[in-house]
Amino acid sequence: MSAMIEVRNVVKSYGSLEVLKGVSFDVAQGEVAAIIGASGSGKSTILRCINFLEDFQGGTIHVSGESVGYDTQPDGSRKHQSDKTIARHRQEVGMVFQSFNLFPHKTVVENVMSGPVLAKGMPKKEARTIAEALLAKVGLSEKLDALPANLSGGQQQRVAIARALAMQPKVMLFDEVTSALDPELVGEVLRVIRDLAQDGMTMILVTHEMHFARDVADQLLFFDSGRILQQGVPRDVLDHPESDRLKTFLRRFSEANYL
Amino acid sequence: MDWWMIKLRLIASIYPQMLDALGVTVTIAAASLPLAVALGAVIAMLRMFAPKPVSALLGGWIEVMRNTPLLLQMFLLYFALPMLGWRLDGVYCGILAIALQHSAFLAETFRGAIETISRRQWEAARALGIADRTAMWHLILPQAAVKVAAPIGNQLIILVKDTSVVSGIAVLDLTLTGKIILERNAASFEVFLVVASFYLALTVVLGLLVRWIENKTRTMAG
Repeated sequence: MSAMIEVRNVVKSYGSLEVLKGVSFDVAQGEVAAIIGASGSGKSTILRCINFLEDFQGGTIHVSGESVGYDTQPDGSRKHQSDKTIARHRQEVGMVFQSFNLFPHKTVVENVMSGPVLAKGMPKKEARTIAEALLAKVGLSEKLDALPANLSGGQQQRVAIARALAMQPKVMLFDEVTSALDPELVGEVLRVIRDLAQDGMTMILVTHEMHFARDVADQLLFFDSGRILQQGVPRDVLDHPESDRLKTFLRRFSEANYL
Repeated sequence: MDWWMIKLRLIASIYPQMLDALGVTVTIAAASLPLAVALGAVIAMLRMFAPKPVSALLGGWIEVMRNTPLLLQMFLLYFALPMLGWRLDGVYCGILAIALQHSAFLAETFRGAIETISRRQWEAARALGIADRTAMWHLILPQAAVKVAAPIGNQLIILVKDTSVVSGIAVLDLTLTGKIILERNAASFEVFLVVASFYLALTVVLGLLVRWIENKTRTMAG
């Protein structure tokens, strides 16, 4: 049984700046992986590579057995996949952003319907049924016809999660989804993510919420300067940091939490 | 009292002539306006999505069209085209010149509005697996339309007033008709007032129309 997400030696650079220097890890079906690391460590970049919002220069990524972004030719060279193939791949990978990125001119329910309707061509009525069920699941049944601008950050982020789920993805990627939220709104979003984990969704969370990562994740990856410095069960990684970089990183965090 | 009566009688007497002229001005405006908008939209799209050389060429075209006088452009069409064996009636020259120049301004307005829509909106659409073309129509353009309504309204009002350049190539529009009446009657400001009132009426009606469309897009865009 191969992993749901398989990342092998991924290398990514912007010009001469190498942001990923050979990153490899697996996420099994139903597993929750959390990625921590300082800003600029490459942790968000790898997420963006997994649904090909970013291209990468070396290595391979497979989701559910299918190669992401490139096909390997018989002679070993890489060939960029067609837009259609990439779009189909993205339909199976849900992504939630730090800044919500809801469509401001569409209502809450229309936002959630947008994926099924615009990507899959699903009839609106059917899409609406799915959207209403998902919005009920994230606790926003009362806000169906509200516009994003009239919601709190926590509510907007829950809509964004429902919007991604409407595509019935095999995998969910969360890119620092609570970082832009007021502290009192973080809990409601984490609760939704925790429910998803319990439902058996395969997920990768890039996060600064150490307690949450320890609680929910099966696997923790510490990124530093484009490499994975330590990975393993969250408890082990957080309680027994092997490198000075991780020790420093964690100390800064506990200090920040006291302030 | 007498003086006023004379003025009013004069104004009343020139109205029939002015109404004919209004027809000409309205025709030129009504033909060049949709042409300018459509051409502007096409240029904006090509500028953003066509291959580099095409896009660069259009960029140059826009600069030339925006940075030379409309009157001059119209003269070129009217006097230079016949030398190439292509004779265009004055009205058509006016329509074409106005549409060409205004389409350049409108193209930049369209492009500007589309580009102010955040890259994150595109990413949100792509992350859902929505094709770029679909995202453009359903997610990006509706947002751009709301932003673009006011500046376009402005541009269209300028377009209507710019129709007066055709008076430079002997087309009997409001401006030229006014000028001729003025010369024949030894009258002065009252004719200008009448001409101005016609333009004002036109632009006010257009302004209301734009406002109506603006509200419509706003409600449609949510």
